[in-house]
Amino acid sequence: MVEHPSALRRLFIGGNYLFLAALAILCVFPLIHVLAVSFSSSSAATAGQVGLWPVDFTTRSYSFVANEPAFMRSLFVSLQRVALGVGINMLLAVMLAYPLAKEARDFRWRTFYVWIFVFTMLFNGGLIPTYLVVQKTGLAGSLLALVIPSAVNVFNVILMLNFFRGIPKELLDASYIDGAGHWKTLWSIVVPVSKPVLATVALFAIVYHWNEWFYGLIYMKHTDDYPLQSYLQTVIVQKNFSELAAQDVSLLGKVSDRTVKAAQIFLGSLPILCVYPFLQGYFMSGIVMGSVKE
Amino acid sequence: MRKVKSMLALGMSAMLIWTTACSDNGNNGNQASSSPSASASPTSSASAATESASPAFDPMAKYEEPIVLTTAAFIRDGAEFPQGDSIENSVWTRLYKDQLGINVKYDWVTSDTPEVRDQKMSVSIASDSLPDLISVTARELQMLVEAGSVEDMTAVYDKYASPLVKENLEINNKVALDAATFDGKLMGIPNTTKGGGVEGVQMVWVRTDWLRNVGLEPPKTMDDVLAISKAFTEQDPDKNGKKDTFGIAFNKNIYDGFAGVEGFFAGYGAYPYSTSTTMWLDKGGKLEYAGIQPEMKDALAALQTMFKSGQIDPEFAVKDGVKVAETVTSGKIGLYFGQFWNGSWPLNDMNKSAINADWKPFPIVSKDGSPAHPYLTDPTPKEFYVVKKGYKHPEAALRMLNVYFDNIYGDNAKPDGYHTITEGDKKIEVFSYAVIRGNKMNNNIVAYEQVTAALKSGDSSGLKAEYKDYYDRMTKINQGEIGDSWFLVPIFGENGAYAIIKDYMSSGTIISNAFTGSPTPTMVERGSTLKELEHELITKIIMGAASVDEFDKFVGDWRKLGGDQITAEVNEWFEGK
Amino acid sequence: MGTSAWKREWPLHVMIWPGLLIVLIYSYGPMFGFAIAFQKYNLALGIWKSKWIGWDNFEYLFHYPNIGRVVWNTLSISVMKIVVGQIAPIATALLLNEVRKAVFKRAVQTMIYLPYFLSWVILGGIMIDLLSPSEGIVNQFLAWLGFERVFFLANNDWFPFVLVFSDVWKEFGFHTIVYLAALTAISPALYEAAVVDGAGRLKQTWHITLPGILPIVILLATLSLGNVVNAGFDQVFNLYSPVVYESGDIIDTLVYRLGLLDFQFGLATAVGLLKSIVGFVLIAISYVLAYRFANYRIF
Repeated sequence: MVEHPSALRRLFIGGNYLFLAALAILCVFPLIHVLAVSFSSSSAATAGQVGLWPVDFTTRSYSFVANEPAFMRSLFVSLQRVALGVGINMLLAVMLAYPLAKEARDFRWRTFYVWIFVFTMLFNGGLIPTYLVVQKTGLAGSLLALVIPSAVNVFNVILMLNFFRGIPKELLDASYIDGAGHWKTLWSIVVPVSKPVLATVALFAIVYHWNEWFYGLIYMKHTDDYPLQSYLQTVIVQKNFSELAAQDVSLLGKVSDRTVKAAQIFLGSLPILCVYPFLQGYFMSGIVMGSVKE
Repeated sequence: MRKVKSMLALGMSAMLIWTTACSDNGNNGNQASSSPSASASPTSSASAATESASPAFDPMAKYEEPIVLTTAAFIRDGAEFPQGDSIENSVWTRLYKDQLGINVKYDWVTSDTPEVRDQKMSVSIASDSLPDLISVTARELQMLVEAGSVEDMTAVYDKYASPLVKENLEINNKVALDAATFDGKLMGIPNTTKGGGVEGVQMVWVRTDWLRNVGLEPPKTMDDVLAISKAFTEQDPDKNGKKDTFGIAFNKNIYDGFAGVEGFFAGYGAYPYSTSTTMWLDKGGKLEYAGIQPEMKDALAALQTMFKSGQIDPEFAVKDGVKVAETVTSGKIGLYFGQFWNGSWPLNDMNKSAINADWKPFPIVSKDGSPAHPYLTDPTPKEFYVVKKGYKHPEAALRMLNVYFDNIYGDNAKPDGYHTITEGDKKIEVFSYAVIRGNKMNNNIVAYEQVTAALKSGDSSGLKAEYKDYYDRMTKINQGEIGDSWFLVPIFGENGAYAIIKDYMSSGTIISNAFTGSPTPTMVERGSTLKELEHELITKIIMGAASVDEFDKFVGDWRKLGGDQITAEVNEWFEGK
Repeated sequence: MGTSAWKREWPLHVMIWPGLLIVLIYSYGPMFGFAIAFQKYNLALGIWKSKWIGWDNFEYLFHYPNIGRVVWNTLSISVMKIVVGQIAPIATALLLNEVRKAVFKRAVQTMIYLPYFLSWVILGGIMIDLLSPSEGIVNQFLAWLGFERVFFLANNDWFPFVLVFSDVWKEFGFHTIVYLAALTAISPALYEAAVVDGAGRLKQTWHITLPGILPIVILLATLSLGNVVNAGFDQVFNLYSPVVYESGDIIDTLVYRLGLLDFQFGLATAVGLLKSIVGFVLIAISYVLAYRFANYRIF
């Protein structure tokens, strides 16, 4: 890079740091607020008195959530789901992206295949028909129901295929000349140089499988089988009086919606906070990528 | 990820219905117990005991060959079980097996969050995997009946329901059973734990400490209410030197059991309500929709004036119940219309804050001081137990219900063990784990009567265990030890919410929704549109964005866009009764 | 054509088939459900037995008062979100790219991703407070600057902007990740050559960086275009109220109020179908345009 930064450049760099720091803080403060609520008492939370710092500090909502054995069970289920889901997701994404990244002359059916997948991004049969299919294929009630139907994420595939396209032809040709077939080339050449996109897709897949809760509740038969976020949904007092009558009068006075919900959110984003910095290392290692124009 | 998410929202984005969970559209009926540690004991209720003559056969007989009954459960947060128990293995499942010979199997157990419940039911019905016995909503019942998927329970009910059960399901002119009757046939058993009592009536909640500060008395007429609202806005009732309080609270849903408009409108002789149910009035033999009656205009005008003079939070239209609760608990509100349960939420939370609010409920009032008419928008339960068509033993459902009533409300009810189980110093409520349940109507009212009497006389010896618990807790409160139980005071105490409800009942002023049938075809098709029209109009008028005269235009639109059609259908139902 | 071509290509086909199979079963399979759009669907009767009503659901939709307003809102809000929603992450990625200190860079990257995890249920509540005309920080700031206070959430002029900016704020971290990955993939050799040629940072950005991520920009923009009929139900639902229906009511919130509360599956499915068609057509058009004019296959 430039050896001696000009004054203007230094000004820019300084301003840049400031701006980015401010932006980051802007993004973080609602989560800090949520964190504060999760450690506050329910009355303070209901009165909206909590700002960025807990009021009437208490770990009640966390212990309420974490003390249940069901919590640990669901945590374990989530870990299984993430491991399985992310694994399958990435495997399929790689296996789909590689052929689809080829040019039409090297793979004559690619455009046809691509549109088959893209179509599904826009058109979705709906919850009930999907449930029926899942049920008929015997997956309902098992973890597979949460992992197989969503195994192909077209967005991820498209992302990946774009990156694969950028890999210099010379690298691939060298591999073919050495007698390697597509499969070997994919795994020994393409994948190792694609760390940024693999890290990206992995991150998205982890986030999805960790946070998705709705299908967990629909497909699983017993609360024992719920992944974490699904379980957490059941823990929150639903102050919904509109369709339900008769809440137990005293139950209403119990745990506040907001502090437990806040704890839930925090738990939901925690793994990302742990995983993301780790994955960022992969973003740093660049690959040799030429122009993408055909 | 995002794409996947947005796809999933297609069609069934009811995923977000749960956000309505944060808004309170109150409508509570009875509940099985108002105390977490009450246990059932022989009832001394007013109804005559009719069980002395034992029927020719025992409706609670055991099956000689054990039968299997499948069901499913929606359990709510923090559902606790005694050590080693679960919903599939509870005191109730054991009871059913040992006493009745019924093996209960759970097809699924999932969360009770509203939108999950609806979706889970939807997929279950659609995939033809409903269990043998389950509780469904009115609309689901309608669909199931139309498709012929549920058993006709008429004969089974007549033959097998115990007198105690019948007594409870047939109150109020059998309105609950009617709601489940199609073409003269009873297709489901009303689930009286989901509404159907008289407690869903309005009252006005006022901070009496503020009243004292501004030198006013509790309201006896609507003019009083208006005066109080004005005073609370302008005279610094919290004495902090700042003009930061409002006169009256409403939330964005307009119709709601907390900070709703119903009680206010009732003061002007208008009784509108439209959420999932709509309010219909009997005007000389013909039913008319309450929301288009001329009396609405006066009330609307009053609200508009109040808004203009700053008595209503200018941001009310964007705040749902939870948000409005914040303004209440942070000490900005001293008056609003709501229902009995407000004592538990949100007002109970205030008790733990530094503000010394003294909230009390009062009967609603009218313009001229004559008795106002609180109104009951949902006199029927919202859910019904159905038995899957083809199930060999539909009477099993009634047997189980009999056993439930017997153990919770019957003369020989066992105090501990079926309602609540004590483990160490923890009391665990188990009554809700029964597969089929019901509420003894007006249980809370009786509780109120007896406990109040006992507190007055100091003699608690005659009290059932459940009521004794209230008594004990209220005594503690009177001695200054409030703890978490403050809500008992405004709800069960002397001059509390139940006293008010009891007065309403004995004075016969309660207006009950004249329409208790299932949604008519046009209601299903157009109901939401009309409701939206109404909601938008009322909000706009209150905020001054529309003049009160636009109400007339609204009435015309309402009629045209389906209202007349619905009225015709409703009256058809009415005549067929 | 010829067997040698097939011989070369068959592994590629085989790689696709597992994913294809899953998609055929679980994405195409359920599409029979579109029939619901043409039915008076009864859950218990199912698709086979529910009454067929042809285009009735669609007609009801088209004749619904305010449908025009709602569609316009949806499209305009969406387009604004797409445009602003691309600019923000690109700018952020570029700025982050200039940062040398790895720790700072990682910290900022992580922090800006965080709002993505907050649901609109929570954010809605926070925003109502923030934007409150009486006590909200934003208005207090405005007042301090000498401006008049604005009731953002009840103001039809401001509401769409509130939607756009808060949504971008929530989502831009997600897109920044993608752009950053793209940036790191640009060959350092190109930059070195540019430096040798005497190009300053700004020139480098213009001639190397931007073109380098252009394909990704087009890709994300196109995919967002397919999403243009959605406009973000979650967000709008939690922030809107009847006062701002005029500018904020979108297709999904309307459908929600009309259909879903009463189990009106037919209507909801009809709307979904229409939206899918529009989205798909837009994507197809973009693809063709990009190919014809820039010789770039988006996917």
